[in-house]
Amino acid sequence: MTLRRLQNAFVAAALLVAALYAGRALAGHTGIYATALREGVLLRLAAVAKLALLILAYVHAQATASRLERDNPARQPWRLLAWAMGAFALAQAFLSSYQMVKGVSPFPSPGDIFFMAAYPLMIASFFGFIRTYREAGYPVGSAGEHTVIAGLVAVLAGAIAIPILRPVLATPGGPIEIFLNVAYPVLDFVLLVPMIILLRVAWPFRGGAIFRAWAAILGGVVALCAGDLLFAWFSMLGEAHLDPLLHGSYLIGYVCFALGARLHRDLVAG
Amino acid sequence: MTSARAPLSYDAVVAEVTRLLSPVLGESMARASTQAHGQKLQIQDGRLTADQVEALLGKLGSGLAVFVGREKAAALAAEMRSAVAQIAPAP
Repeated sequence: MTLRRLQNAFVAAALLVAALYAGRALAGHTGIYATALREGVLLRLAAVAKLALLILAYVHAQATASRLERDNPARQPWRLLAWAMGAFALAQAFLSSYQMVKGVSPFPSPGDIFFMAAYPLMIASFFGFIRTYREAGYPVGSAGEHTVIAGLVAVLAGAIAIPILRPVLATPGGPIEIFLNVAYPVLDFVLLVPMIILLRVAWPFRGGAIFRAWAAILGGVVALCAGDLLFAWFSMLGEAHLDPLLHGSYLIGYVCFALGARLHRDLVAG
Repeated sequence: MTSARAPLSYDAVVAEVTRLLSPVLGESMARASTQAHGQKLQIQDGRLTADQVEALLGKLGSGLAVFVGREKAAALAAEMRSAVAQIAPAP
């Protein structure tokens, strides 16, 4: 089986599990969700799919970086994005092992070290892409325009983040748990700044392969941010029955990362 | 080769290059980037000399390299050269 077919199989499986999670969020513990698709079954299926998709995203991003010449300015951002995907994959490997063996998702876990490391890598990579694409001579906005966008997004993100995170800070819990519940959404909001600029950069390419590849990766970021915010809120509210929405968000996000990285790899593959 | 050729219509070159780059860049960006580079070439009477065509394709190829790598950018540039070579000289 080729890597492409393997990925298609995992994408199909992940989307199916995400759909099952959506059904589970609507139906609750009734019908098939009380028998064949109990919590532990879905959790284990999702654990395998998430890990596989993140490994694929890492492999494709690494291959894209390696394919670009040593002095190609896009190589370093690709390397950073590959490391970010690798850190996510390592984190998910810890989490998936718990989920597979014990059927639970511990929080915090050693995996959080790698999840936390992935965000700065992804943020640095996105800023690298913005600079590289801007300097390549395409009409994708000036440095001044990008700075204005960054400022506006930062102000908006701050205005949204403060009221969202204040109750999370007041939640009873261990210091590491509270720190992580705040840190993930904060990192997501920081990630949104280069993400929105990259969307501005990619938008004029719509209709082409470059836009499709970036739309997938940026879509993955949106789903990842949604998952992190939902996680912080549901943890705070103790709404464990809404976990299916979390898993669905992450599954869709990782599908997008793997797909976007593969589309970029196809772009450089000749 | 373009170097031995008579001047070509700027619009015809833009149209041909846009057609070839659209699958990668999207039609809008393919046209915009070709025109952006074209405007720096001091075009007269809507005609491009062989050297100007070469300069245009060179700029487009180097810009593409950040997305597709130099090898594929060179292949695309060769494809553009071949397509542009089929354009009839400007009257």
